[in-house]
Amino acid sequence: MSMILIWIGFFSPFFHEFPNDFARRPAHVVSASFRYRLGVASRAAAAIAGGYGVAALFAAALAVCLPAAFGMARSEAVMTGTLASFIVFALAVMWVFAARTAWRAWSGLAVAAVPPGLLLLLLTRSGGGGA
Amino acid sequence: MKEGFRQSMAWLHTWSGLLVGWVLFMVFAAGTASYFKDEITFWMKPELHAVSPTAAPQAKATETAVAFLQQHSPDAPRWFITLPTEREPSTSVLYLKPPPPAGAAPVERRRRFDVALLDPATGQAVTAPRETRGGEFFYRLHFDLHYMPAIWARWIVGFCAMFMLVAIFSGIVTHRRIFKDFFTFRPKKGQRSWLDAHNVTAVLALPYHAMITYTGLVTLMFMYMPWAPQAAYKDHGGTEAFFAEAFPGGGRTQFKASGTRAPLAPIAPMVAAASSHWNGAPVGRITVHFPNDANAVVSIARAGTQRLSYDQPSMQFNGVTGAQIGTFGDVPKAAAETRGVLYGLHIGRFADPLLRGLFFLSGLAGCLMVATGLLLWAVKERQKFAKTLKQGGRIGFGLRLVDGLNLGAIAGLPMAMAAFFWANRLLPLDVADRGEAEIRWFFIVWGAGAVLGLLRPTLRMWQAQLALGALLFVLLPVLNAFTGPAPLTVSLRSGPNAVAGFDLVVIALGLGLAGAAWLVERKRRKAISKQAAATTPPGLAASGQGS
Amino acid sequence: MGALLLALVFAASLAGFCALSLAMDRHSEDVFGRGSTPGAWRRWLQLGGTVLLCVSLGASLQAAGSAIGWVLWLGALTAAALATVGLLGYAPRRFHWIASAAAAAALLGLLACLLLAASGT
Repeated sequence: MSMILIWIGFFSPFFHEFPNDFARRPAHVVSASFRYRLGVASRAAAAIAGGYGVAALFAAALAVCLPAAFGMARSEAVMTGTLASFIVFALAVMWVFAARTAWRAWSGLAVAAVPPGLLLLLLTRSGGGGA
Repeated sequence: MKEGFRQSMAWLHTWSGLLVGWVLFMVFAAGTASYFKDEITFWMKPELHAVSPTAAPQAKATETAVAFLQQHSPDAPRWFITLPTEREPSTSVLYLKPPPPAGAAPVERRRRFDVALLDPATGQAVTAPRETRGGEFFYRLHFDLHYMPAIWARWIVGFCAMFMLVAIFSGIVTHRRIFKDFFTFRPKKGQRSWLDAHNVTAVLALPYHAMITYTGLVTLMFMYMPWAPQAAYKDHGGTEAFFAEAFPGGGRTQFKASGTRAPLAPIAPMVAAASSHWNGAPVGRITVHFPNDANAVVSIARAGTQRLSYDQPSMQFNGVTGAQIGTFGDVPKAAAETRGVLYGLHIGRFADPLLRGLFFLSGLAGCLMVATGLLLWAVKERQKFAKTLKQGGRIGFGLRLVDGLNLGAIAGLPMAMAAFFWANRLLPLDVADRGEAEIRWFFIVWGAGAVLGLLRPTLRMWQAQLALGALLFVLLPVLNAFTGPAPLTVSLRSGPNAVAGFDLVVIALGLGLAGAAWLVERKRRKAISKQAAATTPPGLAASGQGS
Repeated sequence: MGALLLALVFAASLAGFCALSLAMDRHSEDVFGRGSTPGAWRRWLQLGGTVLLCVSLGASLQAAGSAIGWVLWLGALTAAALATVGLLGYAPRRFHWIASAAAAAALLGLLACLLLAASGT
């Protein structure tokens, strides 16, 4: 899943960089308005799909890492990871819309996805099962 | 940079709130009503108002319930017995009907079981009340919606809840003067007042709003986020193993019928044993798996009013010998307990009447928060068209759509809820599938309100729907007096308290709606006099004066 | 004792929020007229208000236990804050009296609870 996110992150420069000042969107130039809408759509996709992806990665990573690192019971780690994931999701969405450009929004998500993604890959592989 | 952050959070707050606001208003309204779903169901069964079930100790109530079940469905795969509580003084039994033979048509989910309310002392079924879903309708509506598969509804509501959570976080960040403006409410100042109302209803109940939204997601969290159980239990038995480990004693898949008959051991002693194990705490629910079978198992759970957590300890007994098989949940693990508390906070079953009333108040604040937010957006957007309107132009399609949706969602919903209660008393008793018929009236009236609102989103329409809603609510106690044995004059003096409470609350809600209708009237008069004063050409009344 | 504690929870939270609101210029003006400020009383009102809210919390924990007590307190705070806003908006002239009455009730209630607790009821 982290691989998918990284790929999407690299493709996103297709959606133009976009200034963060939503209060003064240019209305007089048609192409600028189209770029604005494209930017919003890009961010919406990042927020909803990318945010969910990052949250899911965090949940899974916590569930797998906490028992390995702290000896927490597996069911406990699952609970903790899942409970935390909704907060992670909300924070990811806020990041996407606070980032100065849409490109930064996507790459920020990709960066956030790498640590849990790597941990998951490492721990599930070493645990005897394929990723 | 900081200026940009607040601004972007303001944008996020606006859109995450607006796009799902209409669904959220209904979710908040139905959820708030659900705090009193037992009382609502009781009001909707006037046959029960004059009958007061005889109180009995838990052992006796268990015996009579089991006797009833043995008589009516000895071959059911499962019995559920809910012992009487203060809010529900009858014993409630539910039994699954045996599955149809292979090859026969599958039975619809709701028809696979039967319910009955029993007098705890005698075990007699309480006079068959009219068929109605009662308060359960509002409870189910706020997460299962209606007229669609439950899974779709839960995803939709979960999506909206996630948007709401983002709206709460971004709203907090964006509200610069959250402490300075804590008590600020300036009425009669147009857009200022809408903003103040939105801020006050949001901030003053902020702990509640944040809690209810997050815990709402928690109640279905394994559906929304199944990745943690999947990842952690991939080579350890899969998600089923996770549920067995996290919720021991709850599994029903582990029980299998043997096919050989065996007499069921008396359950009352098991209830007594469980209660004493929990230091005298009352028993809540008894589940009998495969009664009268050699593999019968009796599962007993503690009553849910002692603590915040929704998870209650349970005990299992062998159904034939009466021997104790196991105790579960006595010492819950930390994360599981956290989840149980969060779940319990949302359901609110631990709340006594006072606390329940406070939850209700906060829920109403939530409804007002969503409504004022939606209306605030329309008011702000309308200002962008001020110049166009003055020149005789019209507002844009987006604003007109929002005006219409606002009207239908906010003014239409109270009318629909009242219509549901009116249908409960006015529909004939022998209508087929009466419960669904009552619900249909809810949606018919709401649909009519929505269509009319979209066609003519004017102040007059707001006034009409609010006033009608107010009238329907305020007259409910009168309807009760004519169609039930416990009018307000009787119920205030000698109970049932649930009926008196319902009658009083609907009067209060009706008065609130009437107040809102009056505010709209005042605004209408001001708008008319302002128009008369300005020198606009006659006949060019701006269409879509929604708010 | 239980009912007394609950009454204390509400009286103390209402009085506390009334005091905190009066400590602000804006609401001091609402109640006492334009140009009025809390002046020297500001710190005392803020301190008193906070103390009253803490009293409310204590009473709530005592009445409903260490877990449910927090929930009850937050609910009471919401009700009290909404009541304060209502009073400021629609009864500013009577605000002073109502707030003082609530404070007096809270202090008397606190005294009564302490005495009852001390005498071992």
